[in-house]
Amino acid sequence: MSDEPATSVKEKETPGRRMLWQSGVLIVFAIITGLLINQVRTDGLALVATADPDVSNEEGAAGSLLLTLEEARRLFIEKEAVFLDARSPKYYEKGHLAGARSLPLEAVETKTFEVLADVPRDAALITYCDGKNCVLAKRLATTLREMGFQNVRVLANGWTRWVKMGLPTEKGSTGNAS
Amino acid sequence: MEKNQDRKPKKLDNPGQEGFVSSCMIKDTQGRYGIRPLFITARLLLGIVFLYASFDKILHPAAFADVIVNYRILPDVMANLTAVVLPWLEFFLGMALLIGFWLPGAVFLCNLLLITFLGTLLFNLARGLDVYCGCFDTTIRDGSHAPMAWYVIRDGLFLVPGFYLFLHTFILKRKQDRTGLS
Repeated sequence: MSDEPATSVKEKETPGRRMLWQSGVLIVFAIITGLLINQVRTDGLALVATADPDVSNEEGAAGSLLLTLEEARRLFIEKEAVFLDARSPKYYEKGHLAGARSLPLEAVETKTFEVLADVPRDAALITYCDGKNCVLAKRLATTLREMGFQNVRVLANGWTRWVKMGLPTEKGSTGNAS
Repeated sequence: MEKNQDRKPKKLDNPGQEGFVSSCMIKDTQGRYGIRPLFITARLLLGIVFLYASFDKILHPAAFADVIVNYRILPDVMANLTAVVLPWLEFFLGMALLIGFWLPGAVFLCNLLLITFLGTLLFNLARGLDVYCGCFDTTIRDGSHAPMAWYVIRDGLFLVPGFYLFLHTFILKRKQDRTGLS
């Protein structure tokens, strides 16, 4: 004969019901903890976006590596800059800024002088990739500067913004480093 | 008082309890099930995975926010909030699994997160988006990372202990309740 005590209301609670309230409480704990910690830490994130998500705050600022879309457009129209696509060749072939050359970041060590053989060291170079937080273009620009190309700027989130503005693009491997 | 002389769990022999799941279940004369070693192993494994996953994201929320944006699933305005909250949810889930606290809720949320992560990876793989998985390391690489298929397989493997815990916590428990064993 069983000696088990009578079950209480709490013990009769089904796993499903427990799952619901426990999940809710865990989520609430995470929200409260996350927000509190974010508030007190020095590198806390802004929870409310106030700026255009496509545009970086650094753009156009004095001494900034980033240039504005308008400036890039002007340089494109006046053919005063060479545009470099920092993405992988797969994405370059799917679509790139008209006339841009492919120089993937992963190939910068081996392909730079081949891609830029006809470009003087003081020529204006503009690197771009896709996505506001894409780091490929910035890293490519930094590397090119270290290699002696001093006039290098970055068009942040270049591909998306260029397409949004309806500016000229093309597809295929034209200008690709072979 | 009846003395329990049988301390060893024995195979379940009740009619109606046949099948693969039941054959894995053993109970002793006290009605206790003897599959705890596997259950505990799965709990510890998943708990450690979630704790480990949370650390880097808690330490570097901005980098994690960048990863979220790169996945191009959530609106950008939600990236920061998600980067602030999600790591702590992973932390609490990891702790709950390790301690064995609030397991129904923890197991449910763990599986929900794993399925969500796997789903977003598969979705991005299908649409050809080359995004580095921010699961354990929020450093955005320069393209020299493992193929996304590797992360799909890895996250899929994490679902094995997850589903096992879910099965044990909800379905086997239900069977236990139906047989009046508690």
